[in-house]
Amino acid sequence: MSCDRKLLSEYHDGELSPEVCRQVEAHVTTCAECQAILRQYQRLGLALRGFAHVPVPATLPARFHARARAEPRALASHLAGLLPELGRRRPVALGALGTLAAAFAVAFALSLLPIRPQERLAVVAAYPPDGASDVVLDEPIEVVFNEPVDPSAVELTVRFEPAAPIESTVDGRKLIVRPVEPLRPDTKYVVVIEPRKPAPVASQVPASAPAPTVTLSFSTGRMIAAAPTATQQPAVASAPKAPPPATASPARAIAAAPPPTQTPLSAVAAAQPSATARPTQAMGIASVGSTPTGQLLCVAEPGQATTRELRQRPDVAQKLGCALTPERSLAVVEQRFEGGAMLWLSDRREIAVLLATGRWSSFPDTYQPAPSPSPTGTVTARPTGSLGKLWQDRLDVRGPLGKPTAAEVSRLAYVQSFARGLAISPDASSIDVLYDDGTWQRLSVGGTPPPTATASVTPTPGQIAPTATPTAPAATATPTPHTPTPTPTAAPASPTATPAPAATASPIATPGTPTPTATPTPPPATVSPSPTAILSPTPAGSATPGEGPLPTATASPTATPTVTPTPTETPPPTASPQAAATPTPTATPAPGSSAPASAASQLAARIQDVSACEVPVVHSFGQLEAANSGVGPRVGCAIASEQTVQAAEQQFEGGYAYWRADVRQVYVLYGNSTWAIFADTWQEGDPEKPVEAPPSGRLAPVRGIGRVWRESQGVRTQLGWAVAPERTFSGVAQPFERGLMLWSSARRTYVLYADGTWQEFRDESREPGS
Amino acid sequence: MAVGSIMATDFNAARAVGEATDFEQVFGEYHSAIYGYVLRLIGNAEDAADLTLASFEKALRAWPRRPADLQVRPWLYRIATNTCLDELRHRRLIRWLPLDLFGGVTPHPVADDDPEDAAVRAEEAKQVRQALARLPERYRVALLLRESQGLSCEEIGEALGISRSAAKVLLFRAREKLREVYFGQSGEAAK
Repeated sequence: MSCDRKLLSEYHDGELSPEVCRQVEAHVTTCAECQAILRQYQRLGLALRGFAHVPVPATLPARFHARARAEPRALASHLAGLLPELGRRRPVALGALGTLAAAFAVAFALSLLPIRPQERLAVVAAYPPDGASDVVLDEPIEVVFNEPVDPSAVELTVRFEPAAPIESTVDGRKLIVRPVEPLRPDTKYVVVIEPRKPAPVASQVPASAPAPTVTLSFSTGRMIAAAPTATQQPAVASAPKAPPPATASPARAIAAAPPPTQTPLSAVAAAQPSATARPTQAMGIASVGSTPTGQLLCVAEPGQATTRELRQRPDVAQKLGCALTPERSLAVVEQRFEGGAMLWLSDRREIAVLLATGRWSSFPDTYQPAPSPSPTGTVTARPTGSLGKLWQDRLDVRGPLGKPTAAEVSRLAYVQSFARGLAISPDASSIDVLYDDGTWQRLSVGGTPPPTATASVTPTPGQIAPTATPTAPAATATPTPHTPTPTPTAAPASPTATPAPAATASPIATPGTPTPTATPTPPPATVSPSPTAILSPTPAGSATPGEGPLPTATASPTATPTVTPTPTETPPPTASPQAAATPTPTATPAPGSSAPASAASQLAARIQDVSACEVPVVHSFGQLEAANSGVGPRVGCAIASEQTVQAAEQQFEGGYAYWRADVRQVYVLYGNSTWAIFADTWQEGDPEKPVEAPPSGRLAPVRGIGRVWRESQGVRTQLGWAVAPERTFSGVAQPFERGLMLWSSARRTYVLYADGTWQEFRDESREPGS
Repeated sequence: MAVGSIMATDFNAARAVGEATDFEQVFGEYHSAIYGYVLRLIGNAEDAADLTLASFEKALRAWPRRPADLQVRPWLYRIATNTCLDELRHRRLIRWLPLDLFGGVTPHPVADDDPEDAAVRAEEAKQVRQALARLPERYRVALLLRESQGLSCEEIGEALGISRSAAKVLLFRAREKLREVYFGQSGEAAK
């Protein structure tokens, strides 16, 4: 046996098998060098072992107990039960959570307030409704909460009595419980939803009451598959003990094949017998005091602002479901961007980002007002405050949104919550309908009531924008005066312009559930009075040769040419897509726009001018821009100075992952030059579920990067295994209008572009650790 | 988005595993060892107490979410390690580090039946800890977990999120580096 120090080290650690151990001992007795090394290992070990026991400060246990007591959430997180997240935000509510049944009632009472404070998680609706009979045997049970449920933090247990194998998932505010196999026919089931029972923590918490519980009962029928068609059952709206629908699956029926209903939602809400099954029968809010377990009803009517429009738009009404709250007025802050809009909602400190692609997402408002006013520059259209922080922190928001086209506007909006969405009417002319499935659409109010057929083929922005190209302009009517950007209104080259394929698709059906009513495709020339406003598409994916970073210019060639069918102040659309290469932003002042379009366009024009960039790009980022002339035009102006950030980076077989502590984001840079951003939701102590063992020489990432990698199959597939441990260092980050620069201690700078691609540059000028 | 897919009747039963161990006991059993470890990593008694508390608070918060088969000891060391390294990185970020990583801490000799021997050992321990302070933090952590805290390679792997064999390799490299730094600085050749 030859000298093998690694074996000596393992021998020293007692990690060898008895047989190998004997071999090592036999070798060491004859090898002076190995003896010496082993002795050194032992000496060092002994010296370090001397560290083992140090007197612990006597006050440590007392301090721990005091701090644990001071943080009710920590010890009483099980009392919060439903949502640790809620507990963190509102620790005060924890002790007083009471039973879920009580929360049930409270939810309704709170919903009547003009601005619902959303104090705690509560069940606002369930399907099938309590007491339902003839429930289909494989029917999913849906429970809707008043707030989105964090799937990673769900502390709920759900069981059936009698027991049945179930599978539960969380989707936004919805908890969906599916029987794994069909339930027994003609059987009464009770669904018990209760907070997970915690570990007892000695003497730190008062003995908790028996776990608060919500129960729903229903009886199964004999039907296995959901009925695909409508039935004759009356709505259950204001009749708590009304006979439940004979077909117990209105929701599913809608999803599978929406009936061509034209019944205004209000009719259902008023408990008129409806000729059609509609989700409103199933989704309702808990009414106070009718039954202690919370009878689930649909009681609230659509509000003033939405009523009229919804009457005209049964497709929208159907998709939204029952109104859960009366309409209320709410302070909102709105700002328009090239590729959409941001909407700050005062009651929940959340920011809704509405994209021209027809998708929307909500983000927590993390802005903390600074004690001193932020430095003001000459260009003030840049978003500030809450909207500005989100815009600056998140390239995945900034990218699709592009630059602001107007200053933010505060106003009172009418807001109403529905079973499957939210309607926000920021002014008298439009309603933004945000569906729980992540899509949204803008309805214009006061436009010509569209015939049903037209309504059903109204394309959502999402179905327009991706197909909008300069060569195949989608002709879309835009009667709304609410066009959010000063995008020039461009007429199709010919009046018979073929609309983009998406124009004939159903705007309402979620992907994969084509709506039968979408089939009557109107002739292209009659794609008219559509109430859907089209936001200008994102600048990503288009470039105007030689024009550099002029977002308005780059947006225009791809802008969806819009037809203005009704007389408005809009000048006759004369610009062609080709002519739009040199657009005048003031071409179409949006009549309903909150800021004068001329001012907005002036601001936009000023931002366009690179020479007017307010924030200098210095150090290696500046050198990078200087040495690579293509980068500057692509990323646009810096929107904040470069910042030193705590960062970690890990190299993978198929790219890099870069973690930033300040914004708690993980940037995943794939080898195919695309990137993705993930929120870092990992918390210290979270279990790090092992995946399969890595192959030799490869590692599984840990902590924040690890969580993203583990929980996103796409990331794992594309990145592969880590090839080195993660490195932590002081990174540097600088946000740009259409990009982000990140400095890595591996002497690299990554430039992430808003179009979803990234580039890597060697960076020798900045010292690692400097 | 799956919350779980289990038999309904077992929903609570699965959670009940390990409930017998309560966090109070965990704190009582481990706080002294964790404090010692944190002190070695961070080098300052006051900060060590704060970081120990912070580590246990994090552990307490995560306690209700722990997996049924949690190995408490490596889990606690993992939290403490991450907490300390985050702190050290933060300090580096603000460009401040204590000059003497172990300033003011007198190591306790393992045995003090021979005062002279104890003095020699104390001196050697002091020099070793100075050498240790010059090691990359990952090496430092591995050596402290093994030699000072007595974790097995399996547990070190758990604590650092690596495999047992990777932990062995890490320990070997750390030991070699420490040997190089310590015996190199003292001018002592392998003997």
